[in-house]
Amino acid sequence: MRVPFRQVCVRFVRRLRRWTRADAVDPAGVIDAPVRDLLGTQPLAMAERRARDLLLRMLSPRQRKEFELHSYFSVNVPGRGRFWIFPWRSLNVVDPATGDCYCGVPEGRLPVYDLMLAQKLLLENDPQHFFCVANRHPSFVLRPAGTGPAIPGA
Amino acid sequence: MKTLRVLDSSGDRVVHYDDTEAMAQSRAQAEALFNRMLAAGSTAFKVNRGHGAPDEKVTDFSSLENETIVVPRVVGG
Repeated sequence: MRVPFRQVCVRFVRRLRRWTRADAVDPAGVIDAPVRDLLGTQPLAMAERRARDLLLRMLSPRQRKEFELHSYFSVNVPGRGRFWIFPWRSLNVVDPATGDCYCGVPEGRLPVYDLMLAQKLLLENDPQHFFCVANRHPSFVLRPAGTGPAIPGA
Repeated sequence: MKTLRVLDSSGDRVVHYDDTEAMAQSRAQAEALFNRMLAAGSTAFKVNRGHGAPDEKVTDFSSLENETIVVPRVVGG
């Protein structure tokens, strides 16, 4: 059975939202969740909290509102438009216009919110550096030629 | 008082310093840390600059302002 493209996109966005919810439950444990695997031990939980506080302080009011509502936020990249930053450890920078995902992360096991902050600072202030080192993965939402953005509402 | 934050596995490592004599040791520590991190490929940004000034990449310790965040070397994932 052929599923309409729009329906695929809507399911994709629903899934993204479900995955990025802070209280999301993942009994199978297969999702690359930002917090669940990190809160197992006290020092890591403290690190995540510190990182989240710092991130919230560094976000613009619009980004903070987005982050509090959806657990992700968007950044305006000079010369490249808007990108989304999700709370995942890999492929978490998404170009909503194409669906392409980018993976560029600081070395070391940083809390996921530090990772998001690092990506925000790089994308807004030194995008050439980010796109030089980041790996790009083409959109995994198959998009017929001539259609709109890969992700509805982008 | 200036703040240098280096992102790490604990969240961030913070060094407070200023240009007074009393803080000379902290300042030297901050400068050594800043230079060591940048030599290792890290990137530093001036943040919270006040008066709506945007964040800015910085490479020189002497031009640091109120708060600086150092991001460890970024690699492709």
